[in-house]
Amino acid sequence: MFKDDKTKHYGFNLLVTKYQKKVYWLTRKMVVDHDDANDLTQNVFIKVWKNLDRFREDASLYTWIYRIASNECLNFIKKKKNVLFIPIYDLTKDLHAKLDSGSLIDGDDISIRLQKAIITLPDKQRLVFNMKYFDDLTYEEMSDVLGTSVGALKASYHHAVKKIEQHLKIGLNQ
Amino acid sequence: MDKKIKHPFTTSDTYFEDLKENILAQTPGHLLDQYGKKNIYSVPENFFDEQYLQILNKKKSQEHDLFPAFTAKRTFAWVSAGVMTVLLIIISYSYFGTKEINDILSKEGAIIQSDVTDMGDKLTTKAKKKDSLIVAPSQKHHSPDR
Repeated sequence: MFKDDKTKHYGFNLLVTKYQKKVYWLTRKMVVDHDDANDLTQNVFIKVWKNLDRFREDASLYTWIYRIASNECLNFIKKKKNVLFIPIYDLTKDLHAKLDSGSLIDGDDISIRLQKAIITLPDKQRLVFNMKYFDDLTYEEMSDVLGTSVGALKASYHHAVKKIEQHLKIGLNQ
Repeated sequence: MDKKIKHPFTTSDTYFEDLKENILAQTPGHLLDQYGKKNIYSVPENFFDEQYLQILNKKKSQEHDLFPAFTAKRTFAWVSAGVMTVLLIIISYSYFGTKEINDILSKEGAIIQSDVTDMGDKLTTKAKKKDSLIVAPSQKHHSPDR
């Protein structure tokens, strides 16, 4: 459908309809801010459109889109942290502030505390955690998306959970 | 004997429930499960419909873009690089140009200075000679026999 010019546009429209929300929520959980997530989601689909001809059908379409979305999130966060190649911007603090602002945030104290704990994780580990915990991806699917071995992903998720629980326990004891 | 002899050991009523809790508490993920997987993020009303249209519009503009390489970001990057290059050239010229001129001036100044000194010396020497010439004839008139 995507190779034929006559059906390419129709196929792309279907693609956006099917995966728009999944991509948005993936990016939103990573960048927290609605406007940033909106921009990223649109960028993801424009990239998908531009590279549809190059899509090798050895991977599923969802995995391919998910990979583009993941890379877009990680690149966006990396750019935000480094201004003039110097890491001077405290992104964690900024994301925590966004959670506290309440703008398009609808959760109880415990849910927000959990999100704050997740935000303290390293970027890729946070991505792994979100994909496993919230999106229920299998380790094999995550391996296809991130290009990391299943074993490494399991270890990463295990460490992420431990760090989060540690963070939550500290919060509860305060 | 068919009847089995029961063992004498007992536990409390809640022991096995407590045991299960203790085991789970030591495994990562137990605490996390209590927090649930609630999505705390929300979106404005009709957001996804509007975003869908925005994506399709952006796709259309991509197709009609004669120079797709020149997106706003890339244009800004090229212009910034150009401006920085020009500024660098101006600053370099100002600094090195000034330095060079100063060097030339100081060299020329040194040459001029030495010329002036030489000329001064020559004039002084000439004046001294003239003085001695002026003095000498008067000394001739006044002979030692008078």
